[in-house]
Amino acid sequence: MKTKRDGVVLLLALLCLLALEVTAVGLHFIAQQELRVAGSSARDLELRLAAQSAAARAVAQWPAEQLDSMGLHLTIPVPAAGALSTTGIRSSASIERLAPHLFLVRATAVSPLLESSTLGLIVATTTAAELAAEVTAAVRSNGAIHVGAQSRVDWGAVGCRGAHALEVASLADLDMAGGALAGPVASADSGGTWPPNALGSLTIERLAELARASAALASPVSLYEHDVTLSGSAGNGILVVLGDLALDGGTFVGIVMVRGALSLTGGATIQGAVLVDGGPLVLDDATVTFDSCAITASLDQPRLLGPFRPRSRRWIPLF
Amino acid sequence: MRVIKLMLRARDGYAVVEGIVVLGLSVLIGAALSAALLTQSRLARAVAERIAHNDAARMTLLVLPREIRLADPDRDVRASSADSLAGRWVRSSGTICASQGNLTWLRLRGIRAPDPAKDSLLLVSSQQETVHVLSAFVRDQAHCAASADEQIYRTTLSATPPDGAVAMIFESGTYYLSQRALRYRLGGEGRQPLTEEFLRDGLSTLQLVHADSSNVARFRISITLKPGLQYSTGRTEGLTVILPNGRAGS
Repeated sequence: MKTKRDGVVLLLALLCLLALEVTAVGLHFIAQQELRVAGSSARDLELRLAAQSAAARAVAQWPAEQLDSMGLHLTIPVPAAGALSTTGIRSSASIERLAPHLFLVRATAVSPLLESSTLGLIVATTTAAELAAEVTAAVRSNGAIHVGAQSRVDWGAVGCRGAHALEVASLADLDMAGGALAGPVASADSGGTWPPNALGSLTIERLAELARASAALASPVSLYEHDVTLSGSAGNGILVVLGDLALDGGTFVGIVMVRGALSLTGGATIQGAVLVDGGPLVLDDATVTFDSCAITASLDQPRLLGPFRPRSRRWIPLF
Repeated sequence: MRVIKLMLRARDGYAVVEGIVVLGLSVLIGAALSAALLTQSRLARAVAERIAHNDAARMTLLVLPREIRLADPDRDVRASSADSLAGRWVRSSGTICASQGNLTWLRLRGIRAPDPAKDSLLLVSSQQETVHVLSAFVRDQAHCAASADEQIYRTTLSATPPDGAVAMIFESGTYYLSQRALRYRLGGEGRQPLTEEFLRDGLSTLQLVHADSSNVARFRISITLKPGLQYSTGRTEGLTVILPNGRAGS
């Protein structure tokens, strides 16, 4: 009798223990699964970020000379873009030339478990001549233009001449108040479209970004974030003003881009082109002469020619 | 013999009491066992329910961000509301590898083979993006070599293709957070559920924020799971995805 009772209790206790063990094992299994899923998500994110970094490094280490001499649809690896993270993720990048000035950077990151993530980055380049061809008049403006006494807008000398002296949104905005005009005038009224805030893919925002990201002496662009008055100064290259600009005397050779109003007075001379997004543009005892040669020279700087973001999207899903 | 007789006599005297004690103990042990079994059974159901809820949440928070992460919110998303997102979703991508007039060869790799019946072609060049019908779309390796996992296709475009471009094969579809589940509708088909019906309508929302002068574009998804049978409160999970193709000023 004693032995039988002990056996029943033992059996019941074992059953209880078994039930608890099954529950514990089940919970442990579920916890493991959740942990694996969370780990997989974390690795996925890490892989994606590693691939993005590899693509960015490939752009930073842009092998311009090698790519310039490469045929279309060919691909080269960019060893300098490769990396091995502390978690064992190996990333690499290659560049395929799609068109003379269009490239696809393929970046791949692979984990030690051979999981991988791949994405693409579209990168464009250009030439100074291509950019310069976007500027075709001494003055291009969206707003009103006042050409006062002793002022002149010239379409330039033969060889470096533009298509027009003036390109305006509307002929009604043009006020020739005693100034001289050498060369034809074109207007958006007659079907022309000339964005006064961009040189092809090089927008005024992009130029400002480049200036901000560069050390002052190495900057390809002279940038003024707000209104500015310059008196009797001489300069060359690309001048970008995000506010209003007043130029009193002095000489500038190259491109002047102004988002607000522009006032040229006191014998100020610009040899190149003036692009005014806002307006008005007032010339009072000032001269603007188109010069495609000076424009090309001002644009012939590696940092302006790419690699840069094209007008279309940038990141591409690759599989 | 005498001793045995004495013992029998003694036990005889306590038979009823012993019976009551045994019965009582049996009831107690039985009740404890039943309670343990019931608790375990409830726990098992709660765990199973929790797993199903987690799966629905995980699937919703995985599929939508994956689709939109590299999308351009201004071009790829056709419409968005609090409970739906319509757009074009990339299924394979690659490049133009050759062209002759309107004949174009594409080198592609993707999650499935392109289907001219439901897919279209997006060509991305440095200047513009153009959408094309997959016309006379066949496999043809005559002009390009394919790498591992890649396929070469030939198609006839309605216009001369750009000099070089990235090619993306996409389908047009709409994701919904409705009728208690994440659903997907392709073309004129019905809304197919991608998860179990554990989401709470009205409290599970989508929000697409386009880029402005100070913010990049982003996509916010928030889901609320309905209360389970085994636990009374639901829970809310959310995720915000930054969209690198929707930069401010782009």
